[in-house]
Amino acid sequence: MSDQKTPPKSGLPTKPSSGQQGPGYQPRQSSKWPPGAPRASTTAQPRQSVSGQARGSFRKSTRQSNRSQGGTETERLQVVVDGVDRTPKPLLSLNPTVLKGVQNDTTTPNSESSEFFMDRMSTTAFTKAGWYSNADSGTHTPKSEIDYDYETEKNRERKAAEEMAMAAGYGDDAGTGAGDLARGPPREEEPPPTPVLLSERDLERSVYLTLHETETIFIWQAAGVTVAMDTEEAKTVEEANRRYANLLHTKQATDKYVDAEAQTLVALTKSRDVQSAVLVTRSSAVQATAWDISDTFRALDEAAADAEDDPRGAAVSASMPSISQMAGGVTKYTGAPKQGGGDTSARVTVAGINRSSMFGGGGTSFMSLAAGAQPSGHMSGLSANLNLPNGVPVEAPAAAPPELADPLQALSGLPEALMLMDYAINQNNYLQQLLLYRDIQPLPGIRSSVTAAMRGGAASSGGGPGDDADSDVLSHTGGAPGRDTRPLSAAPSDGGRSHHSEMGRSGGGFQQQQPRMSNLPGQLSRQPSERSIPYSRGLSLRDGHGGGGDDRRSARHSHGGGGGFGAGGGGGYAASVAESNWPEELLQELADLGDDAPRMEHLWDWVCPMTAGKNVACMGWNKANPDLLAVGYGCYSFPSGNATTNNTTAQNQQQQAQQQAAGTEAGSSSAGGASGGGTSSASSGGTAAAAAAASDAIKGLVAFWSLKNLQHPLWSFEVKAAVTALDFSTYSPNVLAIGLYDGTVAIYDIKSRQGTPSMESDVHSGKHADPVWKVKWLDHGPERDEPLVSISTDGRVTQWSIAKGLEFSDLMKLKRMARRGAGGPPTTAAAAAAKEGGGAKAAAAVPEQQDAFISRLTSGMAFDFSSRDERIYVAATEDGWLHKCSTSYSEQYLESYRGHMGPVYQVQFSPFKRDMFISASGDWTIRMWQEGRDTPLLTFQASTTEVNDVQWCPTNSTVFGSVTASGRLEIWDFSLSTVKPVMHQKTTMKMSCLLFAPNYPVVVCGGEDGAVKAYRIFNVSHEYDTLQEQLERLDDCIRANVMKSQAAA
Amino acid sequence: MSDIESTLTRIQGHKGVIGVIIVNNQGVPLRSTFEHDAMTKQYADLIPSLADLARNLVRDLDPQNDLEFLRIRSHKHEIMVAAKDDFVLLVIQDPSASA
Repeated sequence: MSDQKTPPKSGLPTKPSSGQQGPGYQPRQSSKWPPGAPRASTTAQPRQSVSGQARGSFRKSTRQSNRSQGGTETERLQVVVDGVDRTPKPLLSLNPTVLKGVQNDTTTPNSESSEFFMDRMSTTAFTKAGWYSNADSGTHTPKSEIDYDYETEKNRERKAAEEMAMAAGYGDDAGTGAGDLARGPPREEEPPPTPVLLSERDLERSVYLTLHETETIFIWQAAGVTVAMDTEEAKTVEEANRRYANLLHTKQATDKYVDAEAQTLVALTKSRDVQSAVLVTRSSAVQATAWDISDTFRALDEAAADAEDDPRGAAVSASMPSISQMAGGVTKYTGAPKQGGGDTSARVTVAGINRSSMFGGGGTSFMSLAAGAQPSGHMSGLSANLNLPNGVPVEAPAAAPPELADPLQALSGLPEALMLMDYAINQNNYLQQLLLYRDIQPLPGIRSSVTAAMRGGAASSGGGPGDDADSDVLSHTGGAPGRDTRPLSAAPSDGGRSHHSEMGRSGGGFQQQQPRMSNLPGQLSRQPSERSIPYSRGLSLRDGHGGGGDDRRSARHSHGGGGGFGAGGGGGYAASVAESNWPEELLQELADLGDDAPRMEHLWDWVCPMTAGKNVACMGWNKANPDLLAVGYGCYSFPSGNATTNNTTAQNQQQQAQQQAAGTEAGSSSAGGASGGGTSSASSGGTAAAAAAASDAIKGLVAFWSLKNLQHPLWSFEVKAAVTALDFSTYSPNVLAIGLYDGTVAIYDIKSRQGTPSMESDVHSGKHADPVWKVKWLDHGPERDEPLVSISTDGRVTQWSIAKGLEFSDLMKLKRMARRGAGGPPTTAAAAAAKEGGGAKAAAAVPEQQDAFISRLTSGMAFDFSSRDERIYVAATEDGWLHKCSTSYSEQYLESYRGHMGPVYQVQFSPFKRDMFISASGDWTIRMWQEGRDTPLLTFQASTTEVNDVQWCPTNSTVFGSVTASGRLEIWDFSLSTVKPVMHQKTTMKMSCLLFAPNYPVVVCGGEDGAVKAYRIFNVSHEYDTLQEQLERLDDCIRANVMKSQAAA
Repeated sequence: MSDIESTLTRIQGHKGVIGVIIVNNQGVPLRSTFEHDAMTKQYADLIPSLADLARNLVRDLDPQNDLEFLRIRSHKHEIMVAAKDDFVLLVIQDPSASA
């Protein structure tokens, strides 16, 4: 039984048996299974090896005999492990009979040299099958014998073990003897079936067996944690222990230490292997300012808002709409994600264009761009680009490639920036005028520079000295040395004129001019006027630049110091007045007044190419922002060739005035309703056609001017017909009402900046049939709504309500007053006078109309509501009457005032004396009225042209202004004179309207050349007077003047 | 002519205006009325950075505020700068010049 093939642990019993094996096998055995099986004690082995030597030699002899006996027995090997046969099966299937034979063979106890089984198998089983059969048949070992063999084999093994043990303990001899003893019988019994393969020599060979100690294998090792006390390490360990004990001790002593039991759950841990990508970490830093953050969040908010507006728009939005948005200045911040695509594409085009325009030479210059031939292609490309966003087909010439789009269009916010820049430059250029407008007295240093600058503006073309003054606007430091020294040297010689030096330091040019002027007194009046042609008043303008009296005083001193020019205080005025051809007596009065003389100074013209040439028909200040002036333009005068056939109302009125004037002269001041009625009916026939023609031919325009930009309106829009009246609402400052020549009343919301009216009257909703001459919002206080009242040539005074659409109600239909006013001898006298007058054909043609009017209505031209009683108003009519009416009675007049002999163009209540009003008429006169008196208190007439507008001064109860058709702007102060205006301004154009600025001593007026002129008036306002003082002054003046006129009468 | 062009023309026509330059946010002058490119380039290089500084200042003081306009008054000129996100518009004016 061979245990040699089994794992080493079971191989132990075979060890001794190996000793019993044939000596020829031993070397192999030892080499194949090295000693040192686990259970073999290492201590015993060496001894065994020692003894084995002897035993081998001993056994040789026995084996020898053994072999000799059983050398032929079948060396069959069987492997049994734990009682199971584990013998390897042969790879070849053998004959069962042969196997049987082999089986039988294996039963033989001779199994020691079983490791050669295969060798022998190869020899026996393959080559000697026949032999097996023989053996099978012949030498068959009985079954019982096999069993016995097993038992004996086991015994033998046991014996071997004992033998080994004995060999260990007692010596070899006993063991071998026992082994021999036990083995003896079966060997001898067994027949030797197989031939002996080993030669004798093999058996003779001595066998060496060497046993080695195996290397120590550490399966687990735990180092001791104790340290010997005498080592070096012990000290540190002890120290650590002591610290730990200390820690424990202090821990227990603290308050937080709680000696309590706690039950804790055992954290179940499970370890799993997970395969994942390597985590990439990256750190970056960014610096953000507070406004970065603010912007970012705003952009996010906007993006969110956009996304809410159109969820898919954010992604879909093409570059095209985005560009158009930017061109429109809608998107200010392109940082929002939505704008990203469009933004970049716009930039690309910008860059592309920029190259072409920058290096294209002429394309970079605006002027050449406007005028040159080469840039015309650029220009058309411009317009092409403009039109693109709107999808309008572009009529671009072939010369303009599409890539020549204007890069400026893509810049968001550019229009606003340009507007701002325009304002800034305007403020720079008009700083002095604006200061004057604002009634700001410049500080001495600034003032001198201001005057110098203004002088430079006025007299820049004077050459030499004048130019020097220009360059010295603000610099007291960097001026030309020659000029700097001059005032210094002059100051001591001037003695008491200490303020003169300050004036002179910056006004060197002025100083230099003065001697020259004084040397040539004769030139004095001419020279300045040549230099400042736009200013008709030459030197007086210069004097006024400084503003207040202080400055003028210094100016006067410099006059005097310059070489004795003029005669004391009023010298400068004398010169200016002389130039303007004022009446001698007034001139004398003004000269007596000296510094306090009222005077006027032109500030600027509000005009731009868009408005130039259009007649300024009406103006209105914004009530909330008094710097904003709305101006209505509309040309209702026609070229003289048409005037004869296609009469406008205005010309009719002029003709009326002339006719009436003629009639007045002829008929000795009793005008009467007859001539008025006749002409007005004629005019009413012509107005319809004229209105139609006007609406077709000329569009009106409303422009909004402000002090921010004096050369371009803030905004303007066109309307379908000439604008004849406008007014801002008081409580809704953005609401503007306008009246048109075609009778329309329209309401605009100027905040929306849309050129279309919010509301508009049409023929179904009370539209006037004739031009609307005045519109006015009635201020009934903030609680009540604010009705609009309009008056028109069609004779209706209409109140409009905008609460629910534009609803109208007629306050009054103005009826003719002929019968009631003058039905009798005056009328016939007037008619007779008209017949006598050669020019009054109209009146002569229709004498019957005195009795039967074609139209029972007369034409309204103006109205004004009383501030004393909000229901009372005075309406001015074309036939020369003024009617005091009440909104409560629409049928009759409360009072009628007669006196004007031409159409009354304007009427206004006094802002101080509430029952007094003033009217301007085409009969060349301005008349002052008082309620309760049907004849005028005072009559003013300065020229022989119609007075188109009259306005009370808001700051002085005795001052009013008027404009005439001959282009005179007159400021009257009837406390000074009722004969001549205290000041006037002559222009070449026909003036049509006039306004005092509500907050500053400024008057603006407009005329047919489309310019709105602003004038600063000096020494007229008594704005610091109390109302009582104003009234007293007014009353005194009127009393004196009325007495005078009565005395004269 | 577009609004922009007309406004530009108007600005250039003002009294004392020496030059108008529009520089985009990459520092490239889009428009210039200067005859010499060197002058344009100098302004286009220098002014926007100053405007940025000014804007940073304004915005640092109050993040919700923004720079609207910048004026630089020198002995000879006044440089007016309107700085926006996309561009810088600058006008050089000689305030003492006559029209």
